[in-house]
Amino acid sequence: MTSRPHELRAQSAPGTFLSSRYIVRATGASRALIEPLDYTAFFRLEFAPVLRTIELMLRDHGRAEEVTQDAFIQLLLHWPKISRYERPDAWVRRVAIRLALRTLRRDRLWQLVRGALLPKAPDRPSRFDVDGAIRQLPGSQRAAIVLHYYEDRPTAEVAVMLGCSESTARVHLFHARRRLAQLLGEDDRVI
Amino acid sequence: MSFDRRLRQELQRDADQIVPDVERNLGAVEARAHHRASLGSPALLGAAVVIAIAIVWRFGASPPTTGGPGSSGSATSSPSLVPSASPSYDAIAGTYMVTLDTANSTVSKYALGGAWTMRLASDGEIFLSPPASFGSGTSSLSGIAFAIAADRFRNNIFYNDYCSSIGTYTWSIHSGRLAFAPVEENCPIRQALLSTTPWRTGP
Repeated sequence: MTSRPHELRAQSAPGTFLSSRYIVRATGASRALIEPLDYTAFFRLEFAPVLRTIELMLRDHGRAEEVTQDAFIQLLLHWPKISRYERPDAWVRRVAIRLALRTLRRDRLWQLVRGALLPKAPDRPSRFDVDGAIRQLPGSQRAAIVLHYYEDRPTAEVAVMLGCSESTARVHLFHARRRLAQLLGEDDRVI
Repeated sequence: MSFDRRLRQELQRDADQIVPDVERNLGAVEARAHHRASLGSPALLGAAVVIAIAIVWRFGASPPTTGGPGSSGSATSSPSLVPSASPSYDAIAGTYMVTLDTANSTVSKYALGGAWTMRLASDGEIFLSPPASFGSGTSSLSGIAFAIAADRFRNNIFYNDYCSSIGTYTWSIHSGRLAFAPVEENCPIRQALLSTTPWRTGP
């Protein structure tokens, strides 16, 4: 497997290492000049991985771009403060995930509210691929699946990202995995 | 191939197909942030106007507002600053607070005791702030919504967390207090939160 998406780093120029927080320029054998990372450099480093995670959750490129942009707008508006955090990349990722969850929950509520007003479609058996199966999951479960299986995060980090306890994150993962296995006709006992 | 491996591979494959145009998005973010920042002063002015209207409305003669047919227009006598919202949404939109007493057995059972704040937005969104003592990692709850039809108030508070369905209530506002009564509800914690005590109008 390739490196974890949230650990991506870029080599921006010879002698310059771009981390999620600083530009480190080698100035000698043992010295380095550490400069605060500017917003534009941070954006170029982090936007794509955050967008990928959000799009895997929302399964809609246009809305994923909108949500990710919203998170980076919040970051830009608070950049002087957030850029001093230990992990501004984690901050913007958390904001984006919570905005995506809000979008999914709102969609689900409207479906429920409108569903009560419309005649119910007859149930019919469906065959799902992974994309279609993930679309059947509630927001928290989608997020847990993407963070655990795509970003390769342990449940403790999934919990931090979702703003819930570790046991709740574990429950989200358990239900999501079981539901996906049902939809995909897989045996969910195999780990 | 194991199920977990299949999930990892297919998610990775989906992710590999996402090739964002970073520079276009950077331009869009900077433009939208600039637009938002430039709206700062008018937004403050707008907020001041809203507060002034609310004060006039509050201290003027205002009959009780309920969601019932024929009564929803009473609270819309103030000019709407959200033209897209329907009159009934404007009638209920606002900030409400309630302090739930742990002496109540239902409140105590679900650890709901303390001061709750709920903001109902004109676009149907609910912003719910629980007391610090409620649960873990729930300093604020978001992504909640409501819908109104006549005197019915449907909402998804605690959906996915403690409730598996949405709840339907009747609502009414009398003397600055918003009261809910369950009509169709099978989630006791949400019912305890909404209907144990009427919510008083907040600042």
